[in-house]
Amino acid sequence: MNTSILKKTVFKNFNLKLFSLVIGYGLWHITSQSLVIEHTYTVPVAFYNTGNKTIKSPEQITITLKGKRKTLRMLAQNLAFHIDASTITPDQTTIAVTKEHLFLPDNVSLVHYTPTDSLIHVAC
Amino acid sequence: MIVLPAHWHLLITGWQDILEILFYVSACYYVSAWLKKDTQTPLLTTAYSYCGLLFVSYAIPLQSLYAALITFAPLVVAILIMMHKESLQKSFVALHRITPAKKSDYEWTQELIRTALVSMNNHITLSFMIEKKQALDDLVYAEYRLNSSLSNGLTQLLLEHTHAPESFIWLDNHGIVHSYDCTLALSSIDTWLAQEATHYTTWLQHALIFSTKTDVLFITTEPTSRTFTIIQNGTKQTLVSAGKTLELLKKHTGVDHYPEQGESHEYVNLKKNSIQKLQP
Repeated sequence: MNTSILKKTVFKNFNLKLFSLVIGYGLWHITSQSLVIEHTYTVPVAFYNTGNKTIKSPEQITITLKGKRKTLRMLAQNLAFHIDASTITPDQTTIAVTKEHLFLPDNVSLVHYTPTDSLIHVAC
Repeated sequence: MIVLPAHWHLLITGWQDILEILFYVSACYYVSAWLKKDTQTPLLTTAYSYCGLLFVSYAIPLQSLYAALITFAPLVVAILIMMHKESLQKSFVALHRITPAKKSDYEWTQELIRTALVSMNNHITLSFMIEKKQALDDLVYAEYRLNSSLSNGLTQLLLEHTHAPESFIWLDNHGIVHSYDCTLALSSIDTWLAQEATHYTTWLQHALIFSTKTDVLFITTEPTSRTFTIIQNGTKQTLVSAGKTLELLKKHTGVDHYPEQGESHEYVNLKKNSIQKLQP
């Protein structure tokens, strides 16, 4: 009984609903792409130029970025926290998270990140 | 590399986006359903085409065209609203020729049979002459013209009226009562009178000859047997039941479809007209 009612509800004017879904999504897509949004990502921490150094650090950090939806969508797949290990001194224990470590374009800003004390711990 | 969830490929980043999309889809659906109601102009196709063009110009991208389509979108929406039949009806503007509303035929056939049965209960003999396609104006003598639809009130008047013997109530196949107490024009009858019909009563002779020469249908009530006598195509059928008479009447007038539950009278007439158009 309930299934038939559900079927009737779904399949009544099905073509109209399908076209409305496509057009509704399309309109949302067009109007929303240029809007600035905030989104949170969990990104891996990657060290380069490590040499013979042994570095202990969190594997991932959580960051919140602000920018156009379209730009954030393009960035999302390649985001990582890149650290040049050659710049780290043996007595250094923290590294500040900055926009440059994420290779963010100018129109995207870093809003927030965790660990919350604004630093990550490094052991050499 | 971060593996993106499936919804990210649709650029949906959270439940807020889904809410927004649902709003757009619902709005589109209700606007589409409203536009679809107008069957006279292809408003829905126009709206879909416009949206399609907008998406293509955005995706390719054709920036000038896209900007123009966005700029003129409010104008297009306004035109679509104005062109919709409901808006036109409100403004009393018609793009098409207005045809008068046609009374549904099925009601009057039943009303006629009901009147006949009531007359039989009152021991009154009623005779109906129902023309089909051929007009009988030149062949019928009628002192008064009613030209009124057969309705409950009118049938009450007809039942209360004292009918002259061998006179007819003259209707057309749309249930319009042209006249009552009308008789067949004798001058015309004289020329048609056939020898084989002379053993019947006068009115029956006239009716038989009339039905041979025209597509008219005669129905007479028989209060004693509570049945009907039907004359059509030069033949006489006696002791016909009310149900069978109604069936013959429907067949004669072309009213052979009754509206089902939820089906409008307009749709019935439309369907009937379309069937008639298909016939050679």
